[in-house]
Amino acid sequence: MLGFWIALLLSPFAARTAESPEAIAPYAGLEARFHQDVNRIRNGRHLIPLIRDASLDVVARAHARDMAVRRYLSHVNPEGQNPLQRIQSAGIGGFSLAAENAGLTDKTDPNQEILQGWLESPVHRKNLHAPPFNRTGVGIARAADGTYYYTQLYVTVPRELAEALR
Amino acid sequence: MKTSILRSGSVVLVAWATSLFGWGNAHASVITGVCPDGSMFIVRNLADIPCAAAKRVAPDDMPPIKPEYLPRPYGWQRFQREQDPNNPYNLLEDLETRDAQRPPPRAPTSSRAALSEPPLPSVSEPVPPRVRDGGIQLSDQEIADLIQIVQLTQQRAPANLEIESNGSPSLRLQLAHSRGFEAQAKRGWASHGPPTSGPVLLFTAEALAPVVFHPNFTFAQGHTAFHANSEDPKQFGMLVGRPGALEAGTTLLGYVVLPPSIDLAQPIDVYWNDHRLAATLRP
Repeated sequence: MLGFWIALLLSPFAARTAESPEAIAPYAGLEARFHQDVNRIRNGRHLIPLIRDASLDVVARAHARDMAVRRYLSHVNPEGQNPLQRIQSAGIGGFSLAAENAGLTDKTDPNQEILQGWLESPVHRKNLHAPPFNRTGVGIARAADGTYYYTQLYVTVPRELAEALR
Repeated sequence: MKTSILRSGSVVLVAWATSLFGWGNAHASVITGVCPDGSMFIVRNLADIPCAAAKRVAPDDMPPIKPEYLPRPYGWQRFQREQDPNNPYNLLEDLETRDAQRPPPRAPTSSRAALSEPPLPSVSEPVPPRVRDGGIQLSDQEIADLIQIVQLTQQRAPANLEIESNGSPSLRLQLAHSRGFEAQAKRGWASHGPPTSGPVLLFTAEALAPVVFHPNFTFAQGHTAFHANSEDPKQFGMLVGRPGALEAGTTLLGYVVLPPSIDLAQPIDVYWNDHRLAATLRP
């Protein structure tokens, strides 16, 4: 609990200085492995891989951190913003479909636990297995009590549009 | 006797006169008849007859007349038939025209053979339908017809994607709605469980080069995005071929059952993987 308040107090100062990669994404390794696991599952179903998008990572991490800090699990934050609004607030455009999975766990192998939970839930599985998604953002945060909070964003940037913008 | 004859005669005359008067009155006050489009009219003046070339029908013949028994001009019927977008023959007409333009098959060159072997009546053996995915029974000829329907429907309701690999086309995907196939599929499914209410789409995947195809379709309309479960025959099935690696020239035919909330008369986004096309499948 102490760590929770310290983090809150320090965050404005930290924002003024250049943040280290560890400060921005303390669970980058976990996130990278999670992304690979998701793509492995998709590949097994003949689905196109999800390309990690740095701007979506920022949105996903912010939501995971917000859930961990304010201790809630929802797609809608206390301010009433849903995933689409958070993505749009970040200035991300050009996508035609979007979805979000979220979860929390206090188990020792959080990636495995979260992924298993999503695969066993029809709604979350639908997002994981949705064929048109081609971009993703992964965010993992940890609450003061050690609980991991996960957010994964999925969007489709239509291929024709992406090629036209190149 | 004479009186009685006169009386009866006068009665007859009066009656006849009355009858004539009544007929005349009827014509003067009510004109009844039928228009060429089959509609009936009852008017008071000739000028009020609502169509040209109307056929007069006696009032006594009017009440029991039902519109479906009225003669319909052949031209009207033919026009309606040719305008009907759900008439499969309209889709095939182009094909028939094309076939008609082909040179006829060669006649036998040997007159002796022609004389000694009278032409047999061309009776094609009926090909029994085979059970396809989803328990749908279709003969090979019906499968060929469905593939043609998908192709020809593109003229009226285009829904096709051409995928390129290494700069050249490798896969052509076409989608279409066929009321006939939808009705047949739903009849079959209804006999094995709860009825299916959503629209049924046909798709073809034509390999233009060696390519890997998996039916990764998603249909999005409004806030609904639907991805068919390929393991549920009431959502997805292959009628010809199997997904996977395809050789050039291979054509697959399959179907997808959409949720009832998707309206084919409205624009719909169809995705194959992350390729997108916008289509109105039942304009």
